Amino acid sequence: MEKFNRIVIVLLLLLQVSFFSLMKTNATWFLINSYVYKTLTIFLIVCLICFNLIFNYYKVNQVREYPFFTMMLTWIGIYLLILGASQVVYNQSFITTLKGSYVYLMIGLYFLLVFFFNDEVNFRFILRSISFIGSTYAVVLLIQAFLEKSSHIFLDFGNYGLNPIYDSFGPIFHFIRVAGPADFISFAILLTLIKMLHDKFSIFDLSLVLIDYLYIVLVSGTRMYMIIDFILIMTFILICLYQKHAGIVYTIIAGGFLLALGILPKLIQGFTGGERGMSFEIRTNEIKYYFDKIFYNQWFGIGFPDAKRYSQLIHGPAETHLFSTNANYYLEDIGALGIISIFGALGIIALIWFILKLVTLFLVSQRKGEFGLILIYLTLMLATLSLLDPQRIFYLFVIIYVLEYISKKTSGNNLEGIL
Amino acid sequence: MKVTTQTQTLKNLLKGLKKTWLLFICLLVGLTIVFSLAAHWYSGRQTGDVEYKATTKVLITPNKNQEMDGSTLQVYLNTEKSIISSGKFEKYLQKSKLKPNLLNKEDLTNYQIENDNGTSIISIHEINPDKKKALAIVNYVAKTISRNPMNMLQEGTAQVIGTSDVVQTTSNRNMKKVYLFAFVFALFISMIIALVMANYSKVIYDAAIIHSALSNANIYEVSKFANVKDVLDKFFRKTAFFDSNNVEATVIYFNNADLIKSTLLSLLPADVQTKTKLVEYTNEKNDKSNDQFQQLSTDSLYHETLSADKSLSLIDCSKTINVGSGKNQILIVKDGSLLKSELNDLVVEFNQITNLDLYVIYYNED
Repeated sequence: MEKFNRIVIVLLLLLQVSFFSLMKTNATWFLINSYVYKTLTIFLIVCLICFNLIFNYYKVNQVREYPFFTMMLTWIGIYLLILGASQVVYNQSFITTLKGSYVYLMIGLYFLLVFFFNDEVNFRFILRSISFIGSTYAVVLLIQAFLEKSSHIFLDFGNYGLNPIYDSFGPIFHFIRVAGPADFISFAILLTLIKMLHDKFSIFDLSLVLIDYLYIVLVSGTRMYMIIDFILIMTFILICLYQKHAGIVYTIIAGGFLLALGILPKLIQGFTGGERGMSFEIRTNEIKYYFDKIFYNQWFGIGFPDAKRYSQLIHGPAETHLFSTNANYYLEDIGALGIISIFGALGIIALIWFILKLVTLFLVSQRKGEFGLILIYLTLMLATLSLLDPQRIFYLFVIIYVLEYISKKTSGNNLEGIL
Repeated sequence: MKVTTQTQTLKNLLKGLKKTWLLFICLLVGLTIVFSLAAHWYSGRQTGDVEYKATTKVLITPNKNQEMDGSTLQVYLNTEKSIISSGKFEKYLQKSKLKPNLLNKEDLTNYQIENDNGTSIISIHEINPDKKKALAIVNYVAKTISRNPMNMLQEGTAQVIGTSDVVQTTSNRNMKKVYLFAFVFALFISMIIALVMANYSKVIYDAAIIHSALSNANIYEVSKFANVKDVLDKFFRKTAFFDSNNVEATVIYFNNADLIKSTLLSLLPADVQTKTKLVEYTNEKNDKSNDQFQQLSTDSLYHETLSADKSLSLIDCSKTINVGSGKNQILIVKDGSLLKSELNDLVVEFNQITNLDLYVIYYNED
């Protein structure tokens, strides 16, 4: 059963990277599994939970603590309430409403992981799998980007596949831009760093992180991930240094703070003026638009309206940007505000609960390094990129599982506790 | 392991859930009524339950003198889409003399533009409660585009292709279905609330939690109280209580005091009973004067010194948690009667005893 579970988990992870994009994706497969559709992933998770409940009951019935359990149940409750209300308010069928919101059923992943993968061996297995798969994907993409210069293409570059942008933006090699996998590989960087803090520092793991980061910088072209991952790697180095040379760390933090103060005006100028000015303006209007929608339906926000019928409501008025090719607003681009715009008052409650839980668990956690690294990742993501969109919702629940595992109290009473 | 309110097993959770059945029923009924009323009220407020979606298609061809590859063609189409949905074009539509009389200015603000994948065809959609208006709007927009006002097609041309079609997108609401959904949602939400309540329950329903807190104890799970006697018998034999003259044993319990006392007495042969010092530590008021047990308060356990004589101590922990100071102790717990906090107190007490030989009997209700 253990082996079977692990095989399915690897399969689930491979689905997240579309089998390293080695196979050509057609329209049908796109609807089953892609960066936008997660139908197969959710189906497999539900099946695995049912299967384990029947054949692996002893594992789920072990005594343990579930710090996030109540919060997760409440999240399901909130989702159900808004599902029902959207159906009534927008006068649409249950199926249509479900189609627009089924990705939230990914919450099943949390229950699957905490019930059946809740021991040290399985925890390490999950960290290792994500780390390896991320790095393998990064290597494949780097090779492809390199070969693309001589027109050798072996990955799925179709509309339903990686859909690269053929402009040369990179600093040295001027590779093509393949942004899609950046989410997974950035997540793999986080988990590899956690793995090193959890186990021990290893040159091999560090090289995996560097390969991942090479992809992020040279091929993905996603500025946000370049910044997030850079901060994560720097934090990791500081945490490692802190254990032996706390004084140096304080000096670096103080120095970094002063440097940041100096650079900040230039950085803001870089994002708001010149070439990025247009993008900044779009983002400001986007935030303003969605901010006004928080109480669109009194006690909840936009909810789950039919994407086709209410596309103007979801993506903003069409006339906003006349000469921009991408005229629409996206809920995924504005981080936590996107979540609040959909769920309204209930979203605010859920988010505050989550933040409070994170803070209280961080305070009592005995693994502050790992916990802190995740907190930084979540903070940076919440500010800019929504963790509830189809691409990233998978990672959110893995992160909550990791948090729950590392916040487990280790008492000195028995060997099991210490190990 | 210290037990906290978060400590849980699935069995414990499900048994706890069973205990919240009354709350569950009340919630189910209450929420079904609330949801049904809310849905009824919303439906009443909505006007024009029936909506129609009209669609017409326009083929857009760029300037033939200009060479275009795939990406420039896509930019061209995107630009056209933006122009068609722009405020300026909307205003033109509203002011044009060719506007059908049927349409008001407000009608021309909600049409939607879509580009069929991989083609130069642009679809214009309109959703409207009025079927005629929906059709008139898409036809009017398509025809206006094909006339290319203000050179909006940038030297290109446009051609309306196919006849416009109209479909009914929503039907009159079926209230029976709405009430059914209200019930189903109420069912799920009540289940979740009941689960949250069960999860926060402080009561222990699974012996596994006791086992995790008292990992060195021997735990006997028995299905009914009648079997407690067998385990007590085993306990006495293991501790050589019947044979030895200077053995002590402590029995700790939370409820069923009389039943436990009578069971113990029935196990002890008359000659053993006479040789044994029988004490009951309890804070319950007991006026049975003919009791064979000497009664002392639970607090007096703090002043007790271990005697070398044969003794059997009973400790009633229903009010105050305390344990004996001897080696052989047995804890009798009824399913669903011990609190997690009480278990923690017991663990603290037991941890102070060296060489503790602890037995736990966990019995279900009859």
